[in-house]
Amino acid sequence: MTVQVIGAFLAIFFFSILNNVPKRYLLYCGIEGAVGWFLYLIFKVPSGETLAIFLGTLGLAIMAHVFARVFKAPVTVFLIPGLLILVPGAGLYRFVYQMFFGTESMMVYYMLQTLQSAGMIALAVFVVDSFFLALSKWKK
Amino acid sequence: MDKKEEYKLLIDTATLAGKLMLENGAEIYRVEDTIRRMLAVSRLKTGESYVTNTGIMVNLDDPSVDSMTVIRRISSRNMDLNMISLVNNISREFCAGNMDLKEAFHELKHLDGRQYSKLMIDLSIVGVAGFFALVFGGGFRDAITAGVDGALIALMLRFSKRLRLNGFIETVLCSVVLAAGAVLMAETFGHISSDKVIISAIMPIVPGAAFTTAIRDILQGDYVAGGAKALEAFVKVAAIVVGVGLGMICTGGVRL
Repeated sequence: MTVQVIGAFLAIFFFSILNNVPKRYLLYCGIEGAVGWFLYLIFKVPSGETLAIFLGTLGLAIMAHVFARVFKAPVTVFLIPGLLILVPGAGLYRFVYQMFFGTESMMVYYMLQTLQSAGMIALAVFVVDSFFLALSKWKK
Repeated sequence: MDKKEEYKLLIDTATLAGKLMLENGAEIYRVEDTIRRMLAVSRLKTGESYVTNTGIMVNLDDPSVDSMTVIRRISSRNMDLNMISLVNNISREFCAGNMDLKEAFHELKHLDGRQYSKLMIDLSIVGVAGFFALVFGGGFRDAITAGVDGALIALMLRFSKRLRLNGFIETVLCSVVLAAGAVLMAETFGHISSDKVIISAIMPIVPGAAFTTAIRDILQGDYVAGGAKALEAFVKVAAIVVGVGLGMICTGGVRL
């Protein structure tokens, strides 16, 4: 697990370079990726794949909003690179692979899994966005 | 500068800001919001923007002046968060009144967000591919193999940039090379899971973020943009799968 979390940190660090994240934020994006993957790994066994992705994204999105407020940068800068660790890139690939070369039942399985993961990520981001929006309105 | 010219420059500036954000991967609602905020500085009655991922339509209207409309077609899209943040800063400064219109237009026109060298980007592709192998539960042998695959991808990307191949063919080419590389290396060195290597090596080119942004756009109510973005992601993945399949067949990784 330690290896995976360190791997997540470095993978997201380099992914941030590919997405041209401002230099001074690279480290924070990497940390987000590591935290997101750590939460996902913790919740994966007790609460299942889908919920784990939801909770991982929740933690990650909260961090992104906090960083964005601390450094006065748009939330997207912190959100997109961090999310890449949980985003179902591999699932998307497996789904289309099964469609072309595999069986129908496997295709439907991976398609549902990918849609669920993407939906959960979007939902978690949505929840956190709305929460922080409400918070900033309430403060006024 | 008389009123009419000023409005003209304002609508151009707002559209340019929107165009830059859209081309560099910002969400639809953020682009629309930025344009609307910048138009609101004029205090005219209507400043409306309608954005999809292939185009921007902006309108500025008031009983006192003629209605003005600008349409821009967007053809290239990639992910560049530095540009988004720079444009965001300019529009924020402009809306707060710390920057005048001409200055804002000039800054946007000459914006350059590049900060990493080409070598650095190539190394990052290697890094992403290699470390994702660890994330997906592979061993160090898998990670090294995926890293080598990443280097092959970087090489192919440079090659196709030079030949100016279109996006679909570029992706197919990268995938053929990475799949063939993974299968051949797994056969030569042994104890390497070629499936894990391929899954990690495609990560730098898989549009996972675009797919999730598409779902977010749909939840936000931007059905046209979200649907189009999901389709774009799907086509890209299809190109990857075609490439990987081809690469595996060529090297005997799968038998049809």
